[in-house]
Amino acid sequence: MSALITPELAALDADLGPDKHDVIRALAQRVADSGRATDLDVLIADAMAREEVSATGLPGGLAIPHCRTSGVDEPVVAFARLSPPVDFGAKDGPADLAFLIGAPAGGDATHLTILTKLARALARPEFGQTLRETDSPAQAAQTILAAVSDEPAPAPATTPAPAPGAAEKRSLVAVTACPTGIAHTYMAAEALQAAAARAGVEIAVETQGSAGATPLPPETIAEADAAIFAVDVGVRDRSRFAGKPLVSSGVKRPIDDADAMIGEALAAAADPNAARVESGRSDSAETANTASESWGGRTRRILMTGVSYMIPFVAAGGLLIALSFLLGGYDITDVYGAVMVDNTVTNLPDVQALGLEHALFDSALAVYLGALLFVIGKTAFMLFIPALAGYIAYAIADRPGIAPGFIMGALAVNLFGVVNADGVAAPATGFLGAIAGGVLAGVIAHWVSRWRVPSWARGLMPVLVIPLVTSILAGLVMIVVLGKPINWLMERLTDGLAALDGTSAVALGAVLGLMMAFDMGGPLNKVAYSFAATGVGAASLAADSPELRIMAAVMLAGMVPPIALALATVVRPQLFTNAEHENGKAGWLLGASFITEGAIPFAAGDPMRVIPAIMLGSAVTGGLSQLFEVGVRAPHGGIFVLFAVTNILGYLIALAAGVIVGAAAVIALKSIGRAPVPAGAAG
Amino acid sequence: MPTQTVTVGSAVGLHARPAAIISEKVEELGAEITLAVPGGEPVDAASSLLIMTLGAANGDKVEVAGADQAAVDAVAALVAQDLDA
Repeated sequence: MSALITPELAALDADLGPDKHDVIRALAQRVADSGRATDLDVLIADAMAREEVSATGLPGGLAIPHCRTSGVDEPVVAFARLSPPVDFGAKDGPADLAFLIGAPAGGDATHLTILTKLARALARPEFGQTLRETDSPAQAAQTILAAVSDEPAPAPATTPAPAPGAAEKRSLVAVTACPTGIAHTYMAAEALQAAAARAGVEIAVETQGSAGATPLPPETIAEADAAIFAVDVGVRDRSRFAGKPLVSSGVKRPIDDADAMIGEALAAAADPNAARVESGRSDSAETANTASESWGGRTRRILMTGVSYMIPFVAAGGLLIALSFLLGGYDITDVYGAVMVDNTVTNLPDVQALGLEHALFDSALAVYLGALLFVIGKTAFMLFIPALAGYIAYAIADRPGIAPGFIMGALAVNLFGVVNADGVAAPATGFLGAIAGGVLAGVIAHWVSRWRVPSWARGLMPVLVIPLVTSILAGLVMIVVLGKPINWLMERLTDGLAALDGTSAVALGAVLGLMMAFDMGGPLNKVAYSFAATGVGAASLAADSPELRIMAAVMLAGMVPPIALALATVVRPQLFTNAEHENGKAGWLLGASFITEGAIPFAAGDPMRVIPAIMLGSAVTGGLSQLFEVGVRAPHGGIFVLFAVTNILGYLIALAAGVIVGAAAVIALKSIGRAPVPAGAAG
Repeated sequence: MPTQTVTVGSAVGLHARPAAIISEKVEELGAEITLAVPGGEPVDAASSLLIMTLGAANGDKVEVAGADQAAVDAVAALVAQDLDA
């Protein structure tokens, strides 16, 4: 018996005429051209007659003209993706997918079987989506064939007998994904489902396409005997499948060879030495995602997704900057550009001429290396806020969210470096602005990706429409709605600090501490920092001048958050996710280097608990630093500028006190209102 | 909830045209009605596509269920009728 449908029976984007009769005639002609019609005129006449009885258009742009006819002697399906669509009498409009089904006269059962299977396939949105997106008639034919030919009927009597000795039905899970996430993802999924049905095993397939993926329920994964990854790109949240016996391949293999893959998966399930999905440690606890996920849980998952992708940037950038301070001294920040551009390994910088008094061993090589590491680290640092926003948007809208999210994050830190004629920088909203921008981009991208568009425009959605529309809308909101008020607020705060100056020194230190910890590199932090740094840069100052004390209060307060959180992850590890533990390890050195941003991963994941706690810690440190009259001559560097500190003992006591208060507050806030992260959830 | 089990009367089962007629009736009644083959998932009877997914042949049993007894009866009568005649 011939296949129900072959590539020559499938037409894509065909203009078959303005009327359904033209479409039926053209599809019947295709059947005749492929040698499948015994009498073309009878086939056309019977299909037309059936169409006269009642229209075969179905809601959702579908049409299934069909007949039992003596014009064919084997069942046959011809398919056309119609462009323009043609009215087949459905209430909601013309059809763009038309299936002509011809069954031999008298073959009642065959006719109903084909109709039933086609209807089941059409009831699945991904079937229609594949047919609307594929660019190959062979793929279309394969997809239809997989849906219509071999799927067993649901009646228990027709279920293939299970293998002898297999008391319960075995089950598999699979993930399919291709780089564009359009046709192959769904074709591979169809092929696997069809093959699994032939083999009598259950399979649940997660299609990680560009339209987004619905994650498999965790219990389905838990029950599965083995996993199949048919992917040309990375599997998202791979750690969900940790420990499952694994069969992996490119996305195309199931389309040709799904039966063999199902067989391999079943063999792997029975083989204790089979390859298994490795247990990833990162981003596992925070990716549990089910339909029943609570609002709070969903918010947390979205934030933690952003955080888990951001941490490597923070860690790499922060540690590189710390290393560059060690090699070149903290004043490397003044000369890195000159060194990088003007010097080479054979033409090392002149340490004396540059005024670098704190370079390691006064070595020119150390200065040169330090400058380069500073540039690399700073570049990584410039990317981490965009990455946070980009992957927050990704967590909401999936792949379409990434690009607009990155753009919003870059706007939040003014990555472009926009300045006015006087060199005044455009307002930056920092990591809080990036969270807002990432959420905004994600929500808009999600909304745009759900637009119903004509089939010709679908290919343009992921590459053109979604990024363009999302970037415009979210970007304008970021600049106009968020940027301007932040600018205004920053000016008010600067005035406020100037007014506070000279009143109570301890109160000023505490306020500066609050500001340093509030947004860690964002606008408030910048106001506080530049308030202090401009004072230090103003003139050569006596060791006990108030400007140096303010600088010390600000620097110490800025060191507290990463160290306090690192301490908290050690004291109460069960309150933090694996990703946070990793970040905690880097936190010690980031804090010690006065890189307050090291705390952002914690704050972005749980802002309502973390930010108040570290503000408290930093306020204590800022106040104590003023009380002990600690001073520091350098505007940056953390412990690397201990040599420039007056009252080192006071410096250490103020720092330790704030760290302990901050860590205790974080632990207290995280202990109330939320169950600890279950240790077992880490895969 | 009122439920009625009937035997499919249409000669070639609930294929496209009987399904279309049933779904039109359900829409006309404005009632929420589901059809199911025994042991299977119920489907919305307002969708001819979903009715066809049942694959119910002539002589098969189909369960008609809905909140409104009169509507269930009317739809059950249609299912039992030979709509191809």
